This record gives sequence, C-alpha cells and structure tokens, in this order.
Amino acid sequence: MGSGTGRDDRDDQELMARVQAGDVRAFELLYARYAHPLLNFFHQMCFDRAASEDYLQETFLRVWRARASYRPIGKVSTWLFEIAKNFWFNEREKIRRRPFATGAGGDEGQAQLSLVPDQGGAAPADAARAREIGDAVGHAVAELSDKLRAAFVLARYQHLPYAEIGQILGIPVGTVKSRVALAERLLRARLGSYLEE
Amino acid sequence: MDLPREDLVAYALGGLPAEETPRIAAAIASDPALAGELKQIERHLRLHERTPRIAPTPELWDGIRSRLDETGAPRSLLRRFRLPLAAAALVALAFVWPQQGATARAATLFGEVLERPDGVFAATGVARVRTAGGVTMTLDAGTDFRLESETRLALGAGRVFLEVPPEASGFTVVAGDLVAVTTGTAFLVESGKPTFVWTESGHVRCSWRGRERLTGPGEAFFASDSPPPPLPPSPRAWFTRPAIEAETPDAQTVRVTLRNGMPDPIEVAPSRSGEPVFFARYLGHDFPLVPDDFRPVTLAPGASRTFDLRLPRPIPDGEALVVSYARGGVRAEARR
Repeated sequence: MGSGTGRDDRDDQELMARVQAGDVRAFELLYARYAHPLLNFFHQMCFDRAASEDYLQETFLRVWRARASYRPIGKVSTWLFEIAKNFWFNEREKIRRRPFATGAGGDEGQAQLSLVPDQGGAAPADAARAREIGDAVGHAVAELSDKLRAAFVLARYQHLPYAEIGQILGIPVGTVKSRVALAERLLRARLGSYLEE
Repeated sequence: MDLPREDLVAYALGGLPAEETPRIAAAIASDPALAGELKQIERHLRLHERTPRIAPTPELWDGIRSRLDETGAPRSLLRRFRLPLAAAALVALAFVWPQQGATARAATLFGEVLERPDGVFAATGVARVRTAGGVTMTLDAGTDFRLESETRLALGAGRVFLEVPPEASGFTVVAGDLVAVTTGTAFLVESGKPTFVWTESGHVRCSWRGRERLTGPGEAFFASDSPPPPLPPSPRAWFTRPAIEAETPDAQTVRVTLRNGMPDPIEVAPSRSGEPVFFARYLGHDFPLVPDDFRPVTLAPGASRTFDLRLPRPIPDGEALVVSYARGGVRAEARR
C-alpha cells in the first residue's frame, strides 16, 4: 500500500508508458493533470498569461517529442517541471516583463488575475484590499532574480519537496535551501508593511 | 540559534524529508527565539496565498492536439481497453453489475485497465474486470497483474478482490511465492509487505514456502513469518468509493453530488500535484473543472456535498457528459 503521493506517481508512470506507446488519449490525460500547475509555474515566473499559455503549449509539445527519452527512474512530475524550467530559462531573454496585474498591453488574463483565493464572500472593500495585497506579492516575487524566483516558486507555490526542486533545477539540496531562504528574507523585507496588518 | 535559518524556512514550507522534521521540530520547541522566527516566516508565507492562480483554457489543449497531428501519432494498441462512455454510467450504479457476457479474454466492466508493452495489465483507477471464465476481479488503483490463463492470475503489485463462481474451478492466484487456489469463493489478495490472502466467503487453499492452509470466511493467510498486522473490517469495503451523481441544470453548469458511503471521512481536495478535483468529458475532451472559490472539504461518513461547476464550453443538447471525481476513480453521466 503506497501513500497517496506514491499512488499518484504510479498512475503517472502508467500514463507515461501509454504516452510512450503513442497514445494521444493518455497524453491528453497527462496534460489535464499537469496543465494547471505548469501553467501557473510559468505565470509565476513571467507574470504574462499569454506568454505562459504559449510556454505551456511548447512544453507539452516538447514532452510529446521527447517521450521516447523518458525513463521511469524518477517522478513524471519532476521530468515535466524540468522540461518546463529548461524551456523557461532558454526563453527568458526574450521575455518582456510586465508589471503584475496592471492590464497593460491588453493581457487577456486580466479577468483571472482578479481572482483572489480565500476571500470567500468578502465585502468589496476587503476584496479590493486582498487584490492589492496579491498584486504587491506578485510585484515582489517578480523582482527576485530568476534563480531565486524559480526555487521559491517551486517551493511555495508548487509545494514541491526540496529534493525534487534540486532535481528540477539541477542543483544540490543545500543550494535549494539557501536560495529559498534568501528569497524568503528578501520578500519578507519587501512585504513588511502588509505583515503588520 | 544553532539551527540554520534556511532549515527553518524549509520546515515552514514542508520541503524537507519526513526524517529531518523531528530534529527541527525539537529545536523549535526548545528555543522561543526560533519559534518566534518561525511564526514570522509562516505569516509571510501565508501572504502568498493571496496571489492569483490561472486556469488553462480548453483552446490550449486543442492547439497542442492539432500540432501533435503534424508528427503523426501512432494508433494506440490499448484502444480496446479504454473505458467506453457507456460503461461509465455503470459506475454510478455503484457495484450493480450488468449481466452482459464477457466474450473477450477479459472484459472491463468499469474503471480502466491498460495493457503495457510488456504484457502486464495495470489498473489506473479502481477497475472491475470479468474473465471469460466468469471470475470477477476488482482491482485497486495501481494494481498490476498478468492473466496467464483463464484460470491463473499472477499479481505483481497492489490488491485484487476476486469473486470466483463455483463453475470456475481451481482458479489460482500467484503473488510472489504465495499461491492461492480457490473455487466458489470471494477473497482478496494483496501483494505487499507482507503479501496476504483474505477470504470473505468459501475456502481458499493457500501455500507459501512449504506452509499450506485452507482458509475459511474471515480468515487470512500471511506470507510472512512475523505476526500478522490487523486487517480492516471487510475486504470489499477497501474498494468502496464515494458515490457520485451529476446533472446539468443549464448548458454551462454541471451539478455534482458526492456522497461518502465509506466508514471513514474523506477529504475532497486537489492532489498535491495540483490535479483538479473533477474532470468533465464531453465534446471528445477531458476538461479539468477548477471551481474558482473551491476550498477543500471533509465529508463525514454518510455526508454528501453538492458542487455547481461551471463548464468551459456549453453542452450541446443531447450531448452526454461524464464527470469524474479524480481522487476517487468514480464517474457519473449526465445528458442535456
């Protein structure tokens, strides 16, 4: 009897075996399972919905093309995030960063950017405040260096274990620890005014 | 503080392996300064819950799918084991089986059983299969096995509950060194540490490394020299999943009701990897359903909960829609 996570991964391995056999339906299921976290990974890295969607599509096309090279020695999710990370770091020079949630450039994701979790049935003023905080947090994360941001995003937003983050980023666990801790310290300093509430 | 601050951050984020956390927890418990710092870190990390999440639009998959065709995807060899939409409706009947004949080597009654290139079958969710010999197998998610003949199954991993009719004489299950031979019975075999057989009704002859025993109802046989671990109340109950019902009050909404018929509470929540709670299959696609304001809920035994989920595309009149609860491997069909 495996843990829930273990079973998730076993299911992923089954899907990947089918994907390797060329089963498009299995690939669609794999996409359905990981599109959400990977799309948000890109969005947390570049804060551009349209670009994030492009990256997601390109990542899954790379996954499809590279399916024969997959070896079931690690978690499927790690392999997917590794491809996504490589794509992101290859593309980052082309990225024109946008301020978070300003709506500049007609970002089609604006509607989604206004969705703030955990506010429930909050009053409009509370909702506006929650959105303001969300924007401020996004700005602060955007100001981190790429390396710090990638480590922090994978740890805080994707909830990945440090060992897995190390595999994805190709760095030792100790380096993951120091990058995430430094990112946390920088962010906390930048967001200090919101912590006093 | 003799605990590195980076360990404290890692602890707050839950990023460390389980074996490392007691050491850090003990250090925090014995040092008020560390405990205070941890509170500050946690308070800061909670702020990040305010950042928005975005959901993929259905068009994204369409774009990927259209470009896959450029590379010429080979036809799947597994097509015959796909879950037909009609079978999905059977799941809603929860363990009421159709009396259709199984003419193939094994017919999937519900769930999904896949054949890997090495000839091993694997269940990706709870699945029920009937062999041509009339043996019904309920497979837990992650179970893999090889059907060596109409009367012999080799279990590689996971657990299977078998119902063997009297006419299927001498049905044999092999799990590692353990061999179970039975007829006219219902029993469970789990391949694990230890592997064991658990008889619900009838009798099963079990053998392992020269040890042999005939087990009766309620009796278990463990392939182990150690004292056996306790067993839950009923083997059949292990495969019970929440019941699910679905209806479409309008073309853009599906109303899903989950009922917990199990003895323990269940948590309705996305997986750690972010897998959505529900999927909807219609118009030839699986769409993840991610309620904007969804919060994990715990369903007590016997409790039910209804979710109104907005569909990414309107359902055309007459179109069948299958909703699946991703964490429980159950599905229900609704039709406009």
